Amino acid sequence: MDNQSFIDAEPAPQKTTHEMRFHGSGSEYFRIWIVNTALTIVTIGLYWPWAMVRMRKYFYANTEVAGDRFQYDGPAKIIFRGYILVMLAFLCYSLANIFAPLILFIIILLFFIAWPWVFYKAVRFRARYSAYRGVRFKFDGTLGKSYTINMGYTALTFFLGIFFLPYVEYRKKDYVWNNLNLGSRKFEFKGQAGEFFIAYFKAVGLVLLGVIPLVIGIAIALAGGVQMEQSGSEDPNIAMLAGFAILIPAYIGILVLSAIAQQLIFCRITNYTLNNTTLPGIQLHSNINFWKLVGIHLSNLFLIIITLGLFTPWAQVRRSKYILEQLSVTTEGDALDTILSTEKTDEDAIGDAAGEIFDFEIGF
Amino acid sequence: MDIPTGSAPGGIYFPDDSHVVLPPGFDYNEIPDLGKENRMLLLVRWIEQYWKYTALAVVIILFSVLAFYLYGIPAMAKSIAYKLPDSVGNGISDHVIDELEDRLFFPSELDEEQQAVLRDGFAGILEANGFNAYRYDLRFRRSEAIGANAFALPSGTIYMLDGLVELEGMDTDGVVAILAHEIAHVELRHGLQSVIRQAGIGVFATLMIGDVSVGISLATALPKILLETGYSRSLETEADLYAVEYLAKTSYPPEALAEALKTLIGDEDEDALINWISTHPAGNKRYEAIRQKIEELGL
Ligand SMILES: [Zn+2]
Repeated sequence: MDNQSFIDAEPAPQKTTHEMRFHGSGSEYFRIWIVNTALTIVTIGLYWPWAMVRMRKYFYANTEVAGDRFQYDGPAKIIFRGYILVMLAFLCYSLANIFAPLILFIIILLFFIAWPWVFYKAVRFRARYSAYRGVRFKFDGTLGKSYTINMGYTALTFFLGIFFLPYVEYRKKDYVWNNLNLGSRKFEFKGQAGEFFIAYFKAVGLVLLGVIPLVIGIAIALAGGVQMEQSGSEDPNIAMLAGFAILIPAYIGILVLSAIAQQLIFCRITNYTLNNTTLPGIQLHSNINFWKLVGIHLSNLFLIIITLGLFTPWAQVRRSKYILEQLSVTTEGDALDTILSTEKTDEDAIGDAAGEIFDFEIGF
Repeated sequence: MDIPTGSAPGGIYFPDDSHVVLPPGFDYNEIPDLGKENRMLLLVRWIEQYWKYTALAVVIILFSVLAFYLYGIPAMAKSIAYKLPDSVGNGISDHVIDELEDRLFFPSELDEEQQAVLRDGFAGILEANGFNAYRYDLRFRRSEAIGANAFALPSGTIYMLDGLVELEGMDTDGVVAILAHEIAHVELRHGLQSVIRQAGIGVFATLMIGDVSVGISLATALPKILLETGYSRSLETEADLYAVEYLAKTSYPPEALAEALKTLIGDEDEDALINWISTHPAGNKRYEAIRQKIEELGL
């Protein structure tokens, strides 16, 4: 949207809001998805990195802001090397699982130790190969901070209880956004932890709400069972049947509620994080509607299940289109046009590809 | 190179890392020195543009998914089942045995003599085939709820229920032949295999539905129920054929297995009898397979 006016008496720079647009379509992405998936199967998985890069590229190249598209060009060859390494590690894990439970413990410990490094490398890699108008993103957070947050704070969660988790999530967002650059411009995230606590507590409350009918169902069924035992009857009585009749929908209810809770966390935290993030002269906005997101998510889920997965590409496009089109940026003057490319940094260590392999949601 | 996807723009990266967007109709094949990787991606892009090739991709995926389901999971389950230490099977069995003894089973009402004859036959099969008799534990029990049935747990505990022994037309040879079938289940680790198969189906459904965590639990139940019978049929037939081989080494006639099966199928109208058939499906096919095996062995 361009509401720039040319009769401008103010010395202050013009503010312009650009809505984000997503141009992808389900049927187009379906063809890309199915062809690349088939190639991955035919090559017993060897083609997977190229398939992954191609699918991700589709989403980047179809996202537009202020008339220009994003680019993703993760080098499949580097991801391939990391992928083979991960597969070997997975093989070790599986074998250890069968033959030596003690080695399994050591492997899990090693993974826990390596995790902050993987996270750090993943964010760097994704930033390095994401670009807008040919200008690359860059992540310059430190490895030490990643250990503080992903290991130190996670360990604290163990002592302080699950209530501490929203704070860890807040610190992760803070770590990613406050160390992210687009070319020569640095992102700045000024959010506080409060909103993270609210989002998580509401989500937990929602799931607990679903536990109530489950508990009632179990109680009724148990009462029926006790009565059955006392009367010495072989046939289940009404209370027991009613209890079981409640249990099944209650179980499905909990599954649906936890899906909704996930959306609640995603929606609130994405809105809050982006609305509190700026680049010099540029303000990000996010206005995702929780109920619309839930509607899209649940209907996607339903359609994916009844099509045995074939609806997946449409589902991904639908969800991405909705979310991305709720985002916008407000720029002062020509802030968007004066972002300059910085020097190319080489990120070709194998570990860097780890993020793409585990498919992190890093949040660009 | 930035080979485009779908109708989205692609472009070109220059050595200084600057990126230039190329117009939609641009023919990337005209660029000199594309390299193998870019040529491959251009080919992939070309395939993606046609619905007919997309249809082929769907067929390939369905075919491999089905092949993996029908052959991949059972083969993997088999190799894992043989690698697992005995303790795993014993652990699973202990719980089941406790449950069964507590809730469903009552002491057998077969007379001592009849039990002794059957135990002789059972021991005979183990001895003739060189199986470890110490791991086996044959238990006679009565259960109105389960009726005419016999089954084996991975640890080697085999239950023979009165209902089956007392079945009209069932003789000692028939019961011993069924015991041989149950021994085959233990020796071939069928119990573990089916547990691992079920776990495999769960993982498989998860992969199919993708990263939708909620879908997993909803989706796993369905294929399990639908396809489990097909799975157990192949294991049953395998147990039948091995049972014939085991019996061939004893003085008991392998034909008795075929006849016992026939007896069970023939009495379908009686409620309790259907049980053994339903957990041991496709009686007629199995009957034919046993006959054929006996012929092959020239017995
Ligand atoms: Zn059987």
